[in-house]
Amino acid sequence: MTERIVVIGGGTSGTIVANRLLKMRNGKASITVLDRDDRHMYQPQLLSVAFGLAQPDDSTRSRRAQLHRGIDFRECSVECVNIDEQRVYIGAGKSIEYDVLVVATGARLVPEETEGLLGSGWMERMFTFYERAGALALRDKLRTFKSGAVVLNVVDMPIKCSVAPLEFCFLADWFFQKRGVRQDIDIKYVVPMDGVFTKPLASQRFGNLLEEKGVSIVTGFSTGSVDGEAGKLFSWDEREVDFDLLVTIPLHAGSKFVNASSGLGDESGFVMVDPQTLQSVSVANVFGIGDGTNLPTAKTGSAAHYQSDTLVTNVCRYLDKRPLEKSFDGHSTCFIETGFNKASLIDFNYDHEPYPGVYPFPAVGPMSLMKESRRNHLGKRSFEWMYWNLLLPGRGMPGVPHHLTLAGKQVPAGAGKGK
Amino acid sequence: MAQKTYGRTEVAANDEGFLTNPSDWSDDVALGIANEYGVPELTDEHWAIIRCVREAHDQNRAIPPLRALSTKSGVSMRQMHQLFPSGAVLAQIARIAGVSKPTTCL
Repeated sequence: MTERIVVIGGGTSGTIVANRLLKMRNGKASITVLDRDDRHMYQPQLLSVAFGLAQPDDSTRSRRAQLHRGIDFRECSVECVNIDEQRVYIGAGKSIEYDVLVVATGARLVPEETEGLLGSGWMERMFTFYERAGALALRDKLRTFKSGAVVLNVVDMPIKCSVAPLEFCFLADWFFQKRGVRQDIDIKYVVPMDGVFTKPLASQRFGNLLEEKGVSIVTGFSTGSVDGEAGKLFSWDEREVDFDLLVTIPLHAGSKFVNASSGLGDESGFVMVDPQTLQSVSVANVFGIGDGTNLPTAKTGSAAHYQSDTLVTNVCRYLDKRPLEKSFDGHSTCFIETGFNKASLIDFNYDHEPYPGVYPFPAVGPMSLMKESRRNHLGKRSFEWMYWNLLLPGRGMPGVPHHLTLAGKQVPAGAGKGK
Repeated sequence: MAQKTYGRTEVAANDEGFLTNPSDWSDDVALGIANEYGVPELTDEHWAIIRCVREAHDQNRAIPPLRALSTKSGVSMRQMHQLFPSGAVLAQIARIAGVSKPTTCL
């Protein structure tokens, strides 16, 4: 009998998984991918859009076209999943039955959950570059902004691409210098964590870099509300930060249908999965991958790419009635644009924080970890090509293993296990 | 790595003060860490949050985001910040609950 695999979400994770499963099951499976539209955007480009360095349409392609021939793509909205019936409900009483379900829906921005954020001043002096319209509106604002306080605020964790807020500050410093107005602009990085990152070495390095660039840092600021008219952020513990231009990273949540599907997700709608097998913690034939899960690692395309190895292996093992592999180690790799045609790079997993060193090849690099370099910047620039042509088709990255390797890294004595 | 003493209990902690051996944790240790943040005693509301965090960590090696924790424990966001008043609330709760530092940032 044909195995029915349904993948909800045709973004980075869903596309990689569907393409790899088609090959791995070798004709034994029918694979259906569901998404609400046919527009697949390379999301890292949104930051470049905000600074006028890219056009969003240049980085948007058809979802269907990224899927290998033989995969059924359907444009539809998912209403809920009934895990007992093994059915995905897609509206108008229609449903799709599955033997294995992969939830790859990504994270959703919920600015409406912060009091005042969508009120007076939204898209006039308060923006987010985490979605297309916001990135374009911010681009127009940045072009003419001459003086005052620019505040980058992360409302709360978790967020997609947690280095993007840092990158915004580095690029804003570069952008305003280029425009000759930097001396009249204060840039503030206001975050709820107790450092610029949660991990000590990276927190210190990037904290120092922010200071070198004259960016002031406010930590432990948990945003409770915003007054766009007065230009003020308020924290739950009653502190205030003034702004003339607010760049917000709003709260994130999982997909709405997860909340409507009993047993699938947590209170925020993130799918609850085992952090090493990616199998749902509540039902054996459901798996989750990427930004829409509660995995305690980065919500990035690179992490999703590394997760895909474990997920595809374990879906096959489940269908073949073999024990699952506990193989996902939390691996993620992130470029961090630092301005002036330079970038830094971090590589880490559940147990090892980012370390200095070289990447991906020991001794030769050619890229540097936790250090600004032009090569890293070129690496980031060339990544979009690799995304469309290597990652999404499921070909993988040459020389880059799915698991973190310590070769080439300067590991401090006694490091590891998340210290 | 450092040795710390809370009451009569000696525990191993990392450079940021998070316990490195989960079995070192006890109610007394939790209270001792809370005292360091200026929390003089742990009320029922404190314990409701701490229990949620420990249960979530046992199940999934991770703790929920602050808002999810608020929903799960029934303690409002404002109240949560009053109960744990020093800065980064989630990290503070994690330390008091004896679990590893929240990794939701990375």
